[in-house]
Amino acid sequence: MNKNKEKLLNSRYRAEKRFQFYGKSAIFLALLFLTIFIFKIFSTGYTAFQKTWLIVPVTFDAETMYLDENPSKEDLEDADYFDLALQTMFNLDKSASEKQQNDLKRMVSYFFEREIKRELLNDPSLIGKTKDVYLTASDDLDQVFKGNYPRDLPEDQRRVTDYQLKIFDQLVEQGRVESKFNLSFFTYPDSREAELAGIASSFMGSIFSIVVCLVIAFPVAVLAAIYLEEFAPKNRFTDFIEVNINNLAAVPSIVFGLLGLGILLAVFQLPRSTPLVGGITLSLMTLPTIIIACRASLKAVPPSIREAALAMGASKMQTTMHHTVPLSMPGTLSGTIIGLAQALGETAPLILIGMVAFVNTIPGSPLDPAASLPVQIYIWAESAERGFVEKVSACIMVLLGFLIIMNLFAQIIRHKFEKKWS
Amino acid sequence: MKKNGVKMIKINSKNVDVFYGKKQALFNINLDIEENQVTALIGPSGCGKSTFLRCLNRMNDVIDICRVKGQIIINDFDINDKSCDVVRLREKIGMVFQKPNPFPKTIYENISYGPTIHGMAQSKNEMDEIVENSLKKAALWEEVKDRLHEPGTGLSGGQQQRLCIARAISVKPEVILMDEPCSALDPIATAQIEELIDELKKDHTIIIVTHSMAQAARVSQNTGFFHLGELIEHGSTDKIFKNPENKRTQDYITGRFG
Amino acid sequence: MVFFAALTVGPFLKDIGTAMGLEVSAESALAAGGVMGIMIIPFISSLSDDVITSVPQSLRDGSYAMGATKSETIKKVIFPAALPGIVGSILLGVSRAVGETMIVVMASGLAANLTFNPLESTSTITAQIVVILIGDQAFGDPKTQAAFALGMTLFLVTLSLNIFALRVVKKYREKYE
Repeated sequence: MNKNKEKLLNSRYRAEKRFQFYGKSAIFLALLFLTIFIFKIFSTGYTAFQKTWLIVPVTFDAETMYLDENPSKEDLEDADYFDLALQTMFNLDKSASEKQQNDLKRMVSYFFEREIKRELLNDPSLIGKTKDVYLTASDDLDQVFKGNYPRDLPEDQRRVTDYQLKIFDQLVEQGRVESKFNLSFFTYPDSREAELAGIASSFMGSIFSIVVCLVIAFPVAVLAAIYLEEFAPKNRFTDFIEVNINNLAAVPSIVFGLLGLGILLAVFQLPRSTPLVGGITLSLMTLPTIIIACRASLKAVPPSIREAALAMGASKMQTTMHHTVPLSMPGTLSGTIIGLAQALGETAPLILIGMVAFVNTIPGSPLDPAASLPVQIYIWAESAERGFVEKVSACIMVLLGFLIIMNLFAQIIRHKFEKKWS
Repeated sequence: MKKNGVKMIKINSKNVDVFYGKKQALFNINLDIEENQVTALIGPSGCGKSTFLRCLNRMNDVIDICRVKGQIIINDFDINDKSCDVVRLREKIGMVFQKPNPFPKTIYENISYGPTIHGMAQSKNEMDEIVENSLKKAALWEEVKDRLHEPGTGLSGGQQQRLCIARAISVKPEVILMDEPCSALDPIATAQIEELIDELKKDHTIIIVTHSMAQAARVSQNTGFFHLGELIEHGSTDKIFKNPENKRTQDYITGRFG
Repeated sequence: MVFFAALTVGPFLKDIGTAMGLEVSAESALAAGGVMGIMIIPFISSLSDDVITSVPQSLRDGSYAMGATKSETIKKVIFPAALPGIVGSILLGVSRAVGETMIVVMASGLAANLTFNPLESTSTITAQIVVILIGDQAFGDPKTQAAFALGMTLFLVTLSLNIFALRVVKKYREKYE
């Protein structure tokens, strides 16, 4: 009997160990996915924060620019820099054939003309002199320099020709290739050319959408929550509304996108692709989240506080506004931030209302067409060029950064200011 | 119970200290529990009597910040020793809690839970027998024999508590710990439980924590009085209630504080 | 926002599939489903965590006091007690996965195959809506109307899933409050 017991006990402890093992491996698996995700994004994305420049000597020859000896400011503005720019690139290899000259031109971005122009405008005295100018390398050379581009592919399968590689290697040897922090990733709008594409336009689009969303959703949601929690009679109608709000919180986001498309664009004829429409659509999505958070924190204020205020002769309105609502604010605010973070990461509804359009200007108001950060990720992910791969990951990093900061902020508000009622 | 005139000691605690984090909850408790008797632990709330009770089957292990020092010897074996197996210990020492806590399962499953995990029944018939005996001992059989397969949470408060007692005795423990078992019950249910306790002491050693001095006087043979984490006085219930040695015991018994 | 996972985990699943000798296209229903499955892990686990925490401590104490080990307590007392809540949270997770769009757009091939083979390329309601409505259609276009019909179907499906799940969770809450 005793031996049996011993046996049983041992097998029970083995079962305990097995069970713990299952639990640990589940956690391990979940963490593994998270690590793969983060590792992959960082390892492909971090290079996007560096940009490759070619340092090329430019001779600012007045004749090539069709200028007089002493040009005025306006003349400099209006001058034709294209020939000068071309000549600069051709000078890298004076014996180049026509085809090779074409290759030389494609070693830099099509912005090279403007980069040279800016250099001269900054310092007009450069005319007739020679100066080293930083030119943005083409995205393919950029990728080669970062080591993301396989050089050993046969020539007809790569976008960089052998000739370009030869010249590029010469430049590298002369120390004329430099990698610097990629400021333009943050200041340029989207572009079809990977080396010039930045997140400025989609970033502004996201900011405008979120502001519109906040301005609409927050007051509406808070008022709705206060009314439902403090003033509304408890009957079947308010019960029905409550159930619906809970369900609304779980409606797929794309349905809100359809709503935006069908009502805001088709019926009200609001301008397509704009942060205004995007913000309104997102606010519909955020509303239930804020209402639920606000009601929960109103509910958590103990009735004794309300009774104390009422007993002092305060009206229902005064009780609510002076006591209940301020006490519920931390919970409401953290709920709002979490709702906004959700809206910030939302993609599908914005695609439906046309915020997926290619926008190469930085929007100045919510009425200008714009993209948003997650949509930008989608657009770049669909692009074929190798240069966009790192941009996708970099943009994800930026967006993740914002989401993490917002969630942290919500946590801090909740833990620091929320009162614990015991 | 006396064997050849000698008191049989079931549990022997020596210098027991208990800490919750940095705060000390029990100070140097030395208490012997007699076999097959009811021992009542009384004292004002927060005095550590429940804490002491939970030391006896190491339920304090569940609380992370709790540390127990000293020796508690049951059957010549220190239960705070590393070699002591908690699972086996708790099989030998059952517990009934303040609030009835039947599992959200049927009455039958509630009772069969312990015997199943400890592998006590080889067949369905044996298990039926254990369930029936336990319920009979807990004086609940007559009331529930027709609805063994209904949820245990559907019973009344007093019935639920007797179900928990039946659950505790189903594994035939040597000791049963009761933590204010009647505090959530009405007077009639309380009377039933007290009667049951008297019946149970034939087979089990019982330690009961109670707020009610009347209850301690009614059900127990021995009493220990706790105050501010110290065991002030212990001895036979008669002596404690009629002729306490310590001033504080006297004050508490006569209702001057607590 | 979790569709980024599709960009990273999708290819990873494909590599695993190839390593196991399975011909998995990175755009199969399996890849999309796998990514979705991973996406709803945190959702379901945090909801279930709440449910499990709300199982009263007294039940745990009762089980430990009977001499049950931790895993026995979890398997035989806590899990059955929390089961309705856990099922509810899984249903909510599933309804979220059904409504998830971007993962499918990114990770599956968008070929509307009627197939039960998860290794083949498929599409979902949400992905179809995006595919139809990207680009400029006139508003009265039958294709546009089809997209709205798909949206309505999706709405009804997730709504009934949610109502059911919320009811299950609520019933469970009442039991312990």
